[in-house]
Amino acid sequence: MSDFLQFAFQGLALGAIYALVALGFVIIFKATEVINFAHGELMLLGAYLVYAFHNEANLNFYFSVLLSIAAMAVVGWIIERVILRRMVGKPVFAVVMITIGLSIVLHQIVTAKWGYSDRQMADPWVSRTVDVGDIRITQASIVTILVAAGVLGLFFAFFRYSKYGVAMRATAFDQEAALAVGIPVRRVYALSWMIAAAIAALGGVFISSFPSSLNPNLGFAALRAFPAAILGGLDSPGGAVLGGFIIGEVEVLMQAYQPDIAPWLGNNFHVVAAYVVMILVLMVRPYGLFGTPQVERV
Amino acid sequence: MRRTGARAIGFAVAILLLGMTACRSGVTVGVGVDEATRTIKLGELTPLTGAVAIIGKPLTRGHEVFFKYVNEELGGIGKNLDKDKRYKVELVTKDTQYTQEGQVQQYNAIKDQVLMIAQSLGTPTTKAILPQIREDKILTGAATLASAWLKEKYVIPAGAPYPVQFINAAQYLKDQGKTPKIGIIYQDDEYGEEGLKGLEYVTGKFGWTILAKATYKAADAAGDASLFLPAAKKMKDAGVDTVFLTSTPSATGKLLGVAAAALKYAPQWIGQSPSYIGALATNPALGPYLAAHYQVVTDASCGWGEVGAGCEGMKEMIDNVAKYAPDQKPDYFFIFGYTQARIVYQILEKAVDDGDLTREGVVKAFESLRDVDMGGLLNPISYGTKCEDKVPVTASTIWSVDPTAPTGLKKLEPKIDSSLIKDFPFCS
Amino acid sequence: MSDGAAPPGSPAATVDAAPRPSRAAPGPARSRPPSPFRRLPFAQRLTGLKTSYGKQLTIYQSGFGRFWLAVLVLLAATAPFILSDFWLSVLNFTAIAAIAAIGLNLLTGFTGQVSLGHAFFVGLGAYTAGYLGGDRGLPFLVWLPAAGLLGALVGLAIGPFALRLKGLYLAIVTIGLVFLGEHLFLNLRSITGGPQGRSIPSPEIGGLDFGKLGGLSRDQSFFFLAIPVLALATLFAKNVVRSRPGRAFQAIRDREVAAAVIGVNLARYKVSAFALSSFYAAAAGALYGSYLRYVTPEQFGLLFSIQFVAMIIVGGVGTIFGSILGALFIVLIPRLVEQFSDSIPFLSKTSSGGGLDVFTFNQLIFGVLIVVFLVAEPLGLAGIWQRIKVYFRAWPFSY
Repeated sequence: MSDFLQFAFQGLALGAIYALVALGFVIIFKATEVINFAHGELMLLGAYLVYAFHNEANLNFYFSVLLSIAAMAVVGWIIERVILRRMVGKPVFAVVMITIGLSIVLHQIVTAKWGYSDRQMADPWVSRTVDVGDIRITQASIVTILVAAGVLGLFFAFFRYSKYGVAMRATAFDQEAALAVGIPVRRVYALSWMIAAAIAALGGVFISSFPSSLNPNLGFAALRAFPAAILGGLDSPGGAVLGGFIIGEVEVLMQAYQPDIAPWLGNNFHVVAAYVVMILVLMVRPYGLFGTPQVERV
Repeated sequence: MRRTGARAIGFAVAILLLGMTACRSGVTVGVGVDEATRTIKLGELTPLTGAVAIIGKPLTRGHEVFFKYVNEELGGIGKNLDKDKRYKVELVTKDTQYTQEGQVQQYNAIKDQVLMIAQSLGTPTTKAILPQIREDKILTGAATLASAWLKEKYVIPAGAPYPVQFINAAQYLKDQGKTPKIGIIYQDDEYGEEGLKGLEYVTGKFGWTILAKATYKAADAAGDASLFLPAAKKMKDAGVDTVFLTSTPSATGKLLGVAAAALKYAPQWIGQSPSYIGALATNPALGPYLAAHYQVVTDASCGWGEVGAGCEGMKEMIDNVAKYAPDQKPDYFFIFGYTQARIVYQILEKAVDDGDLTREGVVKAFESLRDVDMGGLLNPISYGTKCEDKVPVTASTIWSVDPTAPTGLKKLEPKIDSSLIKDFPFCS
Repeated sequence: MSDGAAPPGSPAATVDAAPRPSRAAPGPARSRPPSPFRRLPFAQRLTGLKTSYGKQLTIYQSGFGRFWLAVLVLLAATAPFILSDFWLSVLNFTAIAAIAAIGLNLLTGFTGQVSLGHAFFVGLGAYTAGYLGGDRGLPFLVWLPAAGLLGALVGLAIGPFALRLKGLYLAIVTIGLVFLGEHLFLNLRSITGGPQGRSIPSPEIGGLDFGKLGGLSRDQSFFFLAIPVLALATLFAKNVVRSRPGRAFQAIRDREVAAAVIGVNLARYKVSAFALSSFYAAAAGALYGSYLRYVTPEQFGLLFSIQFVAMIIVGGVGTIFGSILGALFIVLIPRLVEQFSDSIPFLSKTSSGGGLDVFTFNQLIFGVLIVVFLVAEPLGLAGIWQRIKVYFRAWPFSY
């Protein structure tokens, strides 16, 4: 039983990371209808920036994180302003391709500056653990879950109560109408990219803190959060979060129990399992758990 | 522009002319050797961007540094020739991005320019150009330790195939009189399987059982460590006290970190050579754990910076690194590349000595290499024409982790050469 | 090579304006399928007025098109003797990729079903070729279509998902396919060889080994196989697009509900779009495998899928010609950038530690090119081509 709890908790920690990534992803999609394939690389850049500020420039860790979040917000703003704004009204495919091209560029920038070897983040909570009954939990996991929960709570509050949060929801709901009532849609787009990039940076910090490490292929790990976003519904931030936690749990539990329970499924089934769960949910609810069905014009 | 007929004639004429000039230096030359400028061109097919660049870049750098040394200090290839008659080496490097298409295309790009291919990185990628290598008869140095190359006439295996390392590691344990409770965690690909094969073979011979086996996906190594918890836990639950590890450094760090922190599990870890990098030892959180519980098994060689007797090759390498690549940090793949370049150098030297710097001549030189001194970088290597003779080295070195040493490694056992290796079915 | 869509302004009815003396007037019209190479009189080309069904369906509407087609055929026949193996291998990979890209375009460009799972079908085709050709010893003319058919069958199985899911939800499900594929390729060892991969036989037709024709090199020999297969694939796709299924696909893409209302059987056409595109992908995969002679599971990952998506987007979504252009772009540009960047002085050509080297630069340029290109011309290469053609069609009156 304690084994199960240990795995379950680890799954929560992983899920928190996925939730952050999925949330950022959904924010962009909800506001701008763009599928951002570069999201993993934004996370990557954010993580490496923390490394640069903390390990290389020797700034305080928390300060480095804040700095990185701010820097990534700027990066998000630049991307939106310089590239994506020109693509308003252009076919969706082109925009998707652009985000793919962007991800290549970002990846190359990171590897050109920092090379390909693993780096250690030197986060403050390292290998310290906390014992809860029979289970041993790393401080890193606790911090991840707490911070993720905090960020998500903050975000939902923002969405609900602040002026710009409401503006974002309005724009996502109906862009033209929002324009008509005087909401600065351009600013809302820019804001969504900035927020998403900032959240990505945070996700990057957690995915690379001990015992994980900084690795240029982090971006691909972020890709595993896509099923989370879909599961929850592409335009539902709450769904993205729930989806993230579900996928995290599925992956860890599968990795732990599948080789014993169902070895015929082959090695390392957990990656596929995430998608299987997603597909099962979609079969029942084609727009994800909380997604709104798209209205089709005849 | 190229027509088959005209090309053949032109080629023959060129050979004739070259032959006439080459006769003066006593060496017949072929494609890839320019008599006029006295240059030999060697091909490098390696991933310099993309996920596998982490191996390709330092490996290629090892080649570059070595051949720079050869060109500038030794004057070129041909130690028995006058210094101005020696052949300088020029590397033609192409980025394959570790894809088969890239490999095939880049092979085609260089195949008419080079005498041989000094580096072809990757097992699947090298297999993609294998039909052409066989046909064009271009000698190729495979920068992978797959045992498949032993059966190929035109491929140079650059080190002991992976199974050898685990066989020796297990032998080391047996020699100490231990009967370990064994488990293995291996990467879910060909590299991992080779490690598994080696362990299964040697435990079968010793009558030991493998209590637990676990794999992990290579792609997980780049992500969060949570996914490594199950594998470590499986070992712990099975009561394993010696875990053999066939992994990459990212995975090693995560696995050990999870074991140390979340599980407080401290078996003896024995990792294959690619599973370790220096950064793991200097990591403040992991270093002490590694120092107490981690061992690495590599092909028998000197450590980075070890310059005692029997390690002249290493001294040479360190000097060259200081001169030509001072920013290069200790890196296993750099050493591998440097060593491989040295092997290529020996082959070329032999070819020049035999007076035949053509593609066929180079192959003959390769097959006739016997007990070539590698200055401690590797045990003396031998090749041959038959598969069984082509395992270049069979001895391994066992290291423990010492954060104060240059690469973080300290020699535990300089040479283990298990007698079981010669019976391993490499060639079946 | 026009798109088959009638230029705007053509009359809806294309009946014979006047009975022609050479044609027998009474009796039902003999409906021989019109040749795609029939030629139209100049006036009809210019105004878009077509005076018969045959003329509307012809692919090459002018002598110009036919002339250039003949030139292309001539070039293709002589290329293996003129170009170096390097360029031939680039073209071979382009041809293989183009076949797969055409399939993807049929699904995504023409039917609007976004699929990121193309790599799975390509891998499926490659492994099927290996198994049927290698293990079972069947001849090429059996295993190539068989690989395609297997791909189509699996595509049929995926089809029902497409019925239920829309847009991006479908796209992410297809990503799942890729992971499922990788998993299967890794674990079904007896067929796929597991992580070691497996070898695939050379394509042989009746004693002619297209991996090694006489004294020709591997790339030359394969060229003679790849180009005709590409031509066949293109012709077939073009005809599908210009005929009833093609119109149904496009209707589904444009306004699904409206299409259903006017009687397009959504289920049938969506599922067949998947089957058709998977057929193409698997056939391309079989060719790919037999060219490489060895495949491993890692090749067929998400990045591979994304390459095909890149091809159709850069080439031009919803055009057949665009698929070929896109394939050419994606395969060729990195090689061209390499040639060109060799002469840039400040880039280091060695793989030394930090700083920018040629290789990173190449990748960077590639990513930047994609972004810039699409910002400038979202309709892709085919869009540019179309604009050029239209300009010259009305020349010298284009303005």
